[in-house]
Amino acid sequence: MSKSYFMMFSTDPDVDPRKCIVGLACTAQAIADGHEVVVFFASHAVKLLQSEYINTFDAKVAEGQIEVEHWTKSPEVVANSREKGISRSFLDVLLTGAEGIYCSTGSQAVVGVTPENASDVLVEGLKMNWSGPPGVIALSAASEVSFSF
Amino acid sequence: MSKKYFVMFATDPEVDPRKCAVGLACAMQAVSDGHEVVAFFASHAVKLLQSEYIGSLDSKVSQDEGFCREMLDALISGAEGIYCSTGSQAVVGVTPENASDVLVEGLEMNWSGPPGVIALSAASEVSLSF
Repeated sequence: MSKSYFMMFSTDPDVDPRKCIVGLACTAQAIADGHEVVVFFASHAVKLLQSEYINTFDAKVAEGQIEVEHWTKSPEVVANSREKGISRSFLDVLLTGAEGIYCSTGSQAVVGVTPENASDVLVEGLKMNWSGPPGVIALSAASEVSFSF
Repeated sequence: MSKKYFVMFATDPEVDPRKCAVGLACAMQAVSDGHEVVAFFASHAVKLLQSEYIGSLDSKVSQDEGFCREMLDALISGAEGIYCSTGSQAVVGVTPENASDVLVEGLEMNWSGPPGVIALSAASEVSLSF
């Protein structure tokens, strides 16, 4: 049975990168399993949405080689990871399969990203919902399962 | 009324040891309150399952020696299941083959990954992530 998931990312990916990629992997898995998934990025986790940052994130996560098969059985992600990297491949699953991608407007501003310059910095296809704490509470209250990474 | 809890640990205990200890305390509390608890350890939180590491956590969270190990033992003995990420364990050098040399006794570990996280959380009534 499909459930509604609220996935929140607020861990600084420079502080605990592996936790962040575990979160991306679990979120992609929830989408692959047919659940309704809403994703919220806040604090320094908003960096995960930046093209340059996510495209090089595998190097921060890796302590040795990343075995993509440990993370997902999705043929699409496995294939894409060879070209784009596993982090970007997981994020692409979120962009195409999530019910909505939300971010904290205040957190984005701290790293210099605004609705005006977002298209120059963030990955394409986000259809971003610019939000904040009221969004976190409204979305989590409406969900059946919530995770915070 | 008993509820089904899914408790996930994914924080690196080197980064935030107190958060990890609080997570263990809450999971143990859920067990002692009679709830059905499944615990999942992923990312560098898998280190919490290592005998040597959990013994060293007490000093990091300013607790008496053996405090964190007691919480983990209570969780292991009372939980419906203990799960871990096979990939995360591999990163810190632990495999199903050498696990008995490194991890605490009595785990009856379920080796899993993201599919397990989603299946178990979907089957739960309350999910907590630390």
